[in-house]
Amino acid sequence: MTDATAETITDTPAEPASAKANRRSRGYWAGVAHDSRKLGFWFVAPAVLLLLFIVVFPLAMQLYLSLTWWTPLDGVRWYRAYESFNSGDNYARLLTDGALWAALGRTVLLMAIAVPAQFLLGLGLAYLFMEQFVGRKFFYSILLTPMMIVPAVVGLIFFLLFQGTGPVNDTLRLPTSFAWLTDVHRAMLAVIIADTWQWTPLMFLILLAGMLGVPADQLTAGRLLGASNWQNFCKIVLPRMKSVIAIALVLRSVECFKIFDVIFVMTKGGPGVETETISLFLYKKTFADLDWSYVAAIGLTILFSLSLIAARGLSYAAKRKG
Amino acid sequence: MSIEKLNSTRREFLKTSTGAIAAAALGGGGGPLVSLPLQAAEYAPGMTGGPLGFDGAERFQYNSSMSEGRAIDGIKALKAAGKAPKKLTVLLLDGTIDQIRKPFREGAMSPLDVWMRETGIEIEMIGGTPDDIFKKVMQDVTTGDGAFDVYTGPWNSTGDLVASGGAIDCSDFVKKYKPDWNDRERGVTDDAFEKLLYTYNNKNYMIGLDGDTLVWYYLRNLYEKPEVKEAFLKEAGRPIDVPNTWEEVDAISKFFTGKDFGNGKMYGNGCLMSRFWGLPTFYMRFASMAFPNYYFFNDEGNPNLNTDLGVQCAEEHVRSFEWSPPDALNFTFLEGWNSLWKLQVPQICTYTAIAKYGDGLKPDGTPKSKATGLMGSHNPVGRRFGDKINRRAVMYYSVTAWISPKSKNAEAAYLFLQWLSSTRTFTLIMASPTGFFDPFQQANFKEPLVAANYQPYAMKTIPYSIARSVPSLNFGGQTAMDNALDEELQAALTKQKTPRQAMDAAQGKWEQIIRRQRGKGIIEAIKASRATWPMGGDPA
Amino acid sequence: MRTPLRALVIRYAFVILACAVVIYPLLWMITMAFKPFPEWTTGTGMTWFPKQPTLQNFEFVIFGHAQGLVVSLDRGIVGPLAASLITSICGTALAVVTGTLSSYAVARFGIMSLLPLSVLQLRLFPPLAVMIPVMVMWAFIGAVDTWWGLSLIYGIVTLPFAFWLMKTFFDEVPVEIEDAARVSGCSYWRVFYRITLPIVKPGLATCALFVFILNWSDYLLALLLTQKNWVTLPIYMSTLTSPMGGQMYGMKAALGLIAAIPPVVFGLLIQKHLVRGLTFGALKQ
Repeated sequence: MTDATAETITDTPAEPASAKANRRSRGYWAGVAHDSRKLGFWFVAPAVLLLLFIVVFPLAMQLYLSLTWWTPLDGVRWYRAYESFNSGDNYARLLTDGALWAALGRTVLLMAIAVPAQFLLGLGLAYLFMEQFVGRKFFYSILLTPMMIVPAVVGLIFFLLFQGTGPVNDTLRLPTSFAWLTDVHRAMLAVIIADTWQWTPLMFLILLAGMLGVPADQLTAGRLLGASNWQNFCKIVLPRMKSVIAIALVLRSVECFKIFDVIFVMTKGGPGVETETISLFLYKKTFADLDWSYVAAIGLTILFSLSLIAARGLSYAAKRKG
Repeated sequence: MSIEKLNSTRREFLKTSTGAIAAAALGGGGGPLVSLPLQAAEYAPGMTGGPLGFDGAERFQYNSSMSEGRAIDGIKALKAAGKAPKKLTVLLLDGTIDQIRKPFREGAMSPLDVWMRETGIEIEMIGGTPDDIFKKVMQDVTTGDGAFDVYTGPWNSTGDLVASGGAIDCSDFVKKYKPDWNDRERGVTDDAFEKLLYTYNNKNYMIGLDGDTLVWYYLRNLYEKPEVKEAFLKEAGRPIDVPNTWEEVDAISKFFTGKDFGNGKMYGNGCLMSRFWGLPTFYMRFASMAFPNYYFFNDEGNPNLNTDLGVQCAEEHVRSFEWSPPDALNFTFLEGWNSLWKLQVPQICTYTAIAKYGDGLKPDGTPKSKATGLMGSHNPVGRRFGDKINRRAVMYYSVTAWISPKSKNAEAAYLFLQWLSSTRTFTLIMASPTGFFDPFQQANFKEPLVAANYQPYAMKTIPYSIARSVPSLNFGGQTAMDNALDEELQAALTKQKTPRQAMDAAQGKWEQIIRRQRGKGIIEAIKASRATWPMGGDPA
Repeated sequence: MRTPLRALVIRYAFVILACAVVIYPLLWMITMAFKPFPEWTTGTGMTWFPKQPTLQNFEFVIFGHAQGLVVSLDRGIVGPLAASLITSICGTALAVVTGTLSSYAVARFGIMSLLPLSVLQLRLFPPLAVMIPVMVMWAFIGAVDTWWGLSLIYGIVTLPFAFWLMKTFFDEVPVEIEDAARVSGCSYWRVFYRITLPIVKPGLATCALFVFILNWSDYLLALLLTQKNWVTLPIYMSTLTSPMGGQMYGMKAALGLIAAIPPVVFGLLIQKHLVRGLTFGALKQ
């Protein structure tokens, strides 16, 4: 890496003497290029615009709707929702809505099983790939393919695999009456397996990158001191990977919380509501029940709680770094 | 019209439809029709429009004195006034597009060809799946995008759509162009049924394109096999016959489960049990719990779900699932039909349109499925009350068209729909060997091409079932209510809840929805719906 | 010390087992894509490999109809494929460009210290929690069912991903290199464009790949924000049912295979960068 950096530097020609004159003649933009505040402003402007665009109106509308009973069934446009103002009843309802909390519980359950499973599997695989061996690149490419498959397709594949008469039961020598997707407990297991299949590779990739980042001389030193590979791994590699591990876990947890596509295709939340995670719950409330003001209240609450968690997490991370 | 009268007309309907059977027999089940001219390259005398190019095309032709002709004339008038669009965009079920776009037979004109030839207005058809199409409609309605001139979707959802302001009232167009839906010889049989299919709150918000009544099909030859007869007699103590009551259905389901009569291990219950598709199965069982009907709501508009009879029905429904094939909870009606064609189940009770894919011969003369030639159809079942049986079917889904309030071409869109749903064009659509639209008009059942397609045995049972159909929910809040009940039923089927717990929970959810919609005429709508149920019983 | 041979055997055993688990579902999809209709469902005995291999499924999804099938579709694959490609690429470009610029400004110029948290929040909650206003807003600005409307939302929802990934890369680039260039008279812009950006090129490529995969995989946003003209591949796939055989598994599998091609090709194109790009973040540990 350092080689590349050095190269780039020598490749970059030093600024010619006439640059200053040029700059003046090019006016405002030339000035910007030399002023870190101004340049910074222009650098963040597009992203901030996008953020404001997606945040301001939707938040305002959610807040507004969440304080009413409005549903599209009222036959009036949303901006006239004030006609059914309900002074926060949606929020009271949310606190006592068993279905919502159950969906949340299932989402947490899914995260609590899937993310650690993906982490451990990814870590194990990364450990296997730390050293060079024949066919490493080939196996590496194969292991990464699940990431490239569209989640909706993954849902379809696992829907087919887990049919009673499908290949999984056949391979495992189970009777065709052994239901997966329509069994209360195994349906969630099937969903977790599908998610794990697809996302363990990402874990593997991130963790492997973290491991390869550990300087080789430290490992050699460890080995000279008589440490086995495993000791090396535990004593030297893992402690150095803390932040990579944290990133990987956070990344997967966040995405896992939002899981929708795979479940939507595999079970539509069924049997009953057994695999209905928070996203599917919201989908149902939005399109089947048309309960839009309630969805708005839930949306805002989720947003608020997660923001709190994120802010705490970030400040914690910053403190650790500092 | 009184309810008694209603039933008598429904019964007359049955008499007339036997004519279709005779005609179909003449037609030889798809072979060339005997007494017709070989080629019809021109309109029959007096006709000005309609399909050409196949034997019998004149039966689908029309002139200005007929419904289709009036629609075409209307378009021409719009064109002359410069108000006709170049294109109409229609949201349709994927499975129905071919019915409109493809000719029923090589060389014949497809319905769409006829329309294009006579009007020049392009019809852009966008597909959606049965269980998701209404979401697409609501999305278009609520976000104000207005991508479609015409929506189609489940008939049940009309209430939700009208409440959301997503459909226009076509009453004026109906008065102006006089469609032939109400022709008692060719259209629907009686006022109540007409109201059900074409009106909501007494206004023409919708145009029925489908007759989605659940109809029973079974493997006739299986019931006639000596070894089956013998085994059933031994086990049940009575000879096997087509069932008349739910009790008999369940006995047959139980009997066949796990047995092998030469086609592998069977499962007894072919009825759909899955999410969305299994809901009408439950409604149908529910409707016959009392005589003449067991309504979904009582007189005051309160749900009847967790009454003793309601719970009993749920218990029966859950028990019948023991006899269903594995994966039945993942089935759509297509997988359900497939299990019948593989001779895995002895019967199925669902929408009729798919039967034509499994019974009959392909153009190359090979059978369409293992079940070809072995199938039959029987009447709806009910329960015995004294000397009567209240046979009940249910009308659920039934593809229905609405015109978007955002369409800039409402009149042209209406005219297209009138043309499409008039008895001649619609009968031509029914001749198609593909598609989800089911026959329901009188003229459909009298047409040999339809009989050849849907099989003569069904030409009697379909109208018989329609006449005994109870309407499922069709008022604002329906989507939420159906969804709530469906979810609880699935919970009971997967043993998460007992049937009673599930019915209690569903009752609670329904009451909550009704409370929230109370001010919006939901009680009135419930009462109005009760009035459209059939009242008669058949001799036991 | 253990014999290296034993360690090697164990390593290969585990690696091959892992690959088998990865391949098992893929193989089912691939063979399914070549199976004719009667072999799609396994009700009457299951087979891993098609008894009568056929290209009919591909023919059907590509042209919208196929020889010997009574059913056809309202459209072929071309429209959805183009829609997916265009919106994914534009969305990726939007996210990567804005994410790179803003993360650089935050990492180097130290402005907008709130930005990292704000973009993170954007990625945190389920899109369904705010989809209603977004649908209303998109309809208001006429963006529903347009290529730019979908690209815009893709760019926005993947911006946090691009931002955070690029920020870690920029954080790893030694400030000394840039300072040296500054001293020799380069403008801030020039330092960014000619020095830092080339250094993080592998990271940029990796970031683009991930963002592209995210956009390409999207189902929900396209489901809610398209109607007919810009329906993307995953949505198109979910509508593949026919009255003849129910869910068209063979066609869906064929489509799934086709849908896997762009990310794989993209991945292969930047493979060289991929490995470097990922080790980049851990460089300075």
